[in-house]
Amino acid sequence: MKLSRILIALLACLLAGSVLGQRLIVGTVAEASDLDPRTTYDVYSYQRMYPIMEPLIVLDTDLGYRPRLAHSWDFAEDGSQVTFYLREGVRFHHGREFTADDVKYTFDWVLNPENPAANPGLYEDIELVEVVDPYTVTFHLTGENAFILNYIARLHIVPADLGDDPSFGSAPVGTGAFEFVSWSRDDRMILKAFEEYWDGRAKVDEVEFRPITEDSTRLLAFEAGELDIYHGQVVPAEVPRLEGDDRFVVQRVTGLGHAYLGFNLRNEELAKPEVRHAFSHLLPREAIVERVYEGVGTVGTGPISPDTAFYNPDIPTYEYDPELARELLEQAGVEGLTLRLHTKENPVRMQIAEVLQFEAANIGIDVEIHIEEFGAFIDRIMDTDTADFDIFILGWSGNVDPNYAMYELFHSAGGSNFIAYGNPDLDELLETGRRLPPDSEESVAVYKEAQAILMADAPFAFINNTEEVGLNQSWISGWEIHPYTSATYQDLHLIEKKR
Amino acid sequence: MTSTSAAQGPTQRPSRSRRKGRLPKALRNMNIVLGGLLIAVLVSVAIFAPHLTPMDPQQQDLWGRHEAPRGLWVNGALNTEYVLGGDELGRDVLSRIIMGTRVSLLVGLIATGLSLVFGVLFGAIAGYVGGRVDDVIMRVMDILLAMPGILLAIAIVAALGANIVNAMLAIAVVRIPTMARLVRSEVLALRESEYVEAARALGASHVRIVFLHILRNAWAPALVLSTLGMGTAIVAEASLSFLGLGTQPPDISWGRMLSVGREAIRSAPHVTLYPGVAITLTVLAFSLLGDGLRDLFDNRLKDRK
Amino acid sequence: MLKYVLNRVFGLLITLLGVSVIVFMLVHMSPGDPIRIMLGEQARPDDVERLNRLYGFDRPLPVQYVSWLGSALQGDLGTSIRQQAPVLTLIAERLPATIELAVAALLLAVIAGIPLGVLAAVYRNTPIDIASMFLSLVGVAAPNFWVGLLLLSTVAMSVTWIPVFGRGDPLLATFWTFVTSGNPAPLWDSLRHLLLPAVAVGTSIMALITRLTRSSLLEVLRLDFVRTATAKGVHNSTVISKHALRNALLPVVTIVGVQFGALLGGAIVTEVVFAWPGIGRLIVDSISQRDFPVVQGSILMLAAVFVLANLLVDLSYSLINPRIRYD
Repeated sequence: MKLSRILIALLACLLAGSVLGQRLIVGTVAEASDLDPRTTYDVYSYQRMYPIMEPLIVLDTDLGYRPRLAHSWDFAEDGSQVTFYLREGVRFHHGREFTADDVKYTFDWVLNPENPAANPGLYEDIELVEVVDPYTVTFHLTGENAFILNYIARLHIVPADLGDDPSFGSAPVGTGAFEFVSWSRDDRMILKAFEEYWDGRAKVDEVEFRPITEDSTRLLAFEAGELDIYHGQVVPAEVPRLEGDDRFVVQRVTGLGHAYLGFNLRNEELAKPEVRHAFSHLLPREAIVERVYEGVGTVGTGPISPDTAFYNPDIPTYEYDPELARELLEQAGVEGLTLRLHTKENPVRMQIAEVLQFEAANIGIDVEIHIEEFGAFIDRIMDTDTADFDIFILGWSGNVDPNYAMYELFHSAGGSNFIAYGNPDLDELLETGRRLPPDSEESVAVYKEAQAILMADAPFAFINNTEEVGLNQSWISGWEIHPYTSATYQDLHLIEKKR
Repeated sequence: MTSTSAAQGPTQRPSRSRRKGRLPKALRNMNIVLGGLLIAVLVSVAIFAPHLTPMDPQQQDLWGRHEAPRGLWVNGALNTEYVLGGDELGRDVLSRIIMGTRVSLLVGLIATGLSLVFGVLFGAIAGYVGGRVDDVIMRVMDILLAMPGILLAIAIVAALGANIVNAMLAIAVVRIPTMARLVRSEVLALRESEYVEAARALGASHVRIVFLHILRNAWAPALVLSTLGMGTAIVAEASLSFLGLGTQPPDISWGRMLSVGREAIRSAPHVTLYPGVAITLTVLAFSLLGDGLRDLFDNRLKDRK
Repeated sequence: MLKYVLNRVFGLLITLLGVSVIVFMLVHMSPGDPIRIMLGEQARPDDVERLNRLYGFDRPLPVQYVSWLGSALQGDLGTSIRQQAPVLTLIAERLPATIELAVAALLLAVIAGIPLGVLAAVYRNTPIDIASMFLSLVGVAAPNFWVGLLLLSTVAMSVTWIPVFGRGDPLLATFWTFVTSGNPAPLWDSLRHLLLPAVAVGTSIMALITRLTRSSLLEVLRLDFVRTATAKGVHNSTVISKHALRNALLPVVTIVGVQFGALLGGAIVTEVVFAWPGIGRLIVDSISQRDFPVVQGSILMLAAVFVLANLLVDLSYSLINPRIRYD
């Protein structure tokens, strides 16, 4: 009798403990490099930053804008400036109130060429950041890039009084729902609920980010219940099985990226459109999506995600047709072709390379696969002086707008145009597009035409459109995965854990 | 005494005393017999691989992806399709393992061969010439030894480019110092022996003395180390391939099969399991043979005394 | 003796200098630009160039090496390009985890390996002997990371209290908690996280120790003093435990020392498989990210530990065995 009473008391203590101290365990694909939003570039750092720090506005899961630190904003009539009206009474974790000065500090820092900002090019369009009053800030724009809001939505505000501290990136302070507690790299990062968060205290008390680089280990850990949620790099082959298991929730949403074959147009054979068309017809896209990606994602149709208004559904697609490919090669007078195919060390991309090699061999093209470590691979592709490659597999992601999806890749002066592609008509369209208001009919028309030109030229063969996959245990509620991978934990404070 | 030669003295002790350990006679022969037999099988599999594969090891069938192993008997008849299942592109795992024997044995052979040649060369020169030359050579060997082997191999492959040839080179470089040390100590021991003195007195050239008189008597331990090193080299290739720094398609290596297969270890464990079994068996064969040879030579040495 | 020690220390410094030169050359020979890798598949050439200039990577290599060496001699190993944290901090975060794993693996190997070896020697040529020898041969032959993967997908998935990945709190800290407050929970948590990685890494060493124990025990059993003891009617098990084993274990102790050094950098793939936050992972990641300062600093640190350990082992030999003289 006594013993059972003690046991019950113990059990009650344990239960109370677990109810009081709910800790959300988040598995991630890689460790963050650093938590300073100004100098960091990688998805896995941003995923951890969103709960700690906040941008002025954020992208919603439907890719519309949503207020965050700014409750509203408006553009000047001529589009030369945008003004943000900030929330009042928002506090940083160290207690100070957030004001327009912090906004100016953050953007000025990024735009100062002396600072090692990771991506100032995105913000070139900003001429001046003007503090109108503590809760109003105006950005003066050059008008060169109409999609600037998308980029403002990616920059988290850093407190002006702490931002110059060299250790800011390893122990950041922000206005977010969670305060930074500790970080031992490659092991875990711990955050705790910020009691004075403006949007209401988080529903869990603590968050623990655990980096697990091995895809198989991460999945096993999730299945064993050691992780509550994770987003990204879910092994495609395991998705069907996970979907049939009612202990788990598999969330899927159309992504904002694609993988493609890039053809080096400096190669005289690849410069012939027929050869590129032949390769595009050789790619068994449906089989790749169905079997290699196990149905995760869709067949590649172009640079723009099919779920957005800018997508042109009327452009022709390249069906899998090896016979047609053979005819195209004959037309081009190509025989006994040997080409190198370069890819980085990535299981799925290596499989795609092997599939293409196999298909090409069937019509007499010898494709040599060169798998390289990422560093060597990216050097080979990006070094435009040597341009020592024939065909490569690469991806492009974060396509929240058509300018981001097309300009750098396909404009003849684009920074990521590694294949020496150039079409004056397309250049002109891409330049026009970025000056038009994004929600105008003209803008949509321009980008639809741009896609038609691009698909006819076929400098790329688009393989697939990505699909984001997130997993959560059935005891987790309130989480919706985001098509923009970096932002997938932007509403972490709404997640509830009942276990 | 110089620091290098002093370092060599005491650290040689463990292997000395290990070498003294002997298995009972019957088992000892068993080691050589079993190991040799296994290796003979592996070598013939490697040579005749294209004729032994039940399916085309490169033939993809995306609809046979991760096909479960069917075994040898299906419905009372001999089965040759997907005996050990299909891999991530629907290729036959058994056929690929059979073809993979070539790469694994080749990596072991070439990496070990290279380390044998250079290890013997450096070790012999250092031991025979002595003095400054000895100091410099052994210092470089010490530097290589001070870095963890697999890390050094990774750094070398990263510098030279990830492919099978560079992986072999990297594995060889990592293994040279051990071989050089061993040969050097044997040479040191034999340098002052009576018959070398005699050869010298008869006016034999240095090259002749080293290669004809000294190395002829030092080959036994080098052979043992090389045999055991075959296994280490094969595992090293598997590790490099696991980290994405080894063989490239269409070449087939067990390490790469395992590395790619591990992605789907839950749904299709056979893709990870069997290449690992192949690696284990091969390494086992070489360590059996190596152990056997060591015991054999130890006895001979003792008999000679 | 003093002269010998000074000589060795001087040689050790030269070795470390050589290590730093080789690592510097290898990492800088590697194709790949740390900034480009950091910025990823969508890097803009302008940003790559600007950041390279800001970080001083556009300077000639010898200048970069000398400037690195200069700070290193003052105890500053530089700052990580990728992680923006001091290299020493990064190493200090990982080294305890690696040492913890190495010690645990060795302990397991010794605890299981020695009795198995003794058993095999005592029951020589019986099925027990053959079974344990077979086990140890397979243990040496199976790649660690493969064993790890198999353990993960079978044992960790079916035994609920064995976790799949990661490390608990540092073992020393949780042990201290247990000693001071009597709370065993954190200690237990650390131990159960340690179990599978330690088994994966320890299997091959265990196999090695089994074989070594067996062969050196057999050797000792043939020696005169053991025969004498047996003849005097001392009980068999006493002979083994009191006389023979003690003498047979010297080579085992040596192999443990050697293996510890090898484990510090050699358990990389296992660290990756179990998401163990060790130094091997740090180095492999940094090599692939061309994070020069981290690669240089951490390999140098491992090399330093290795050569120092060797020096200590050699010196202790001369203390244990006065027959070895260094003059």
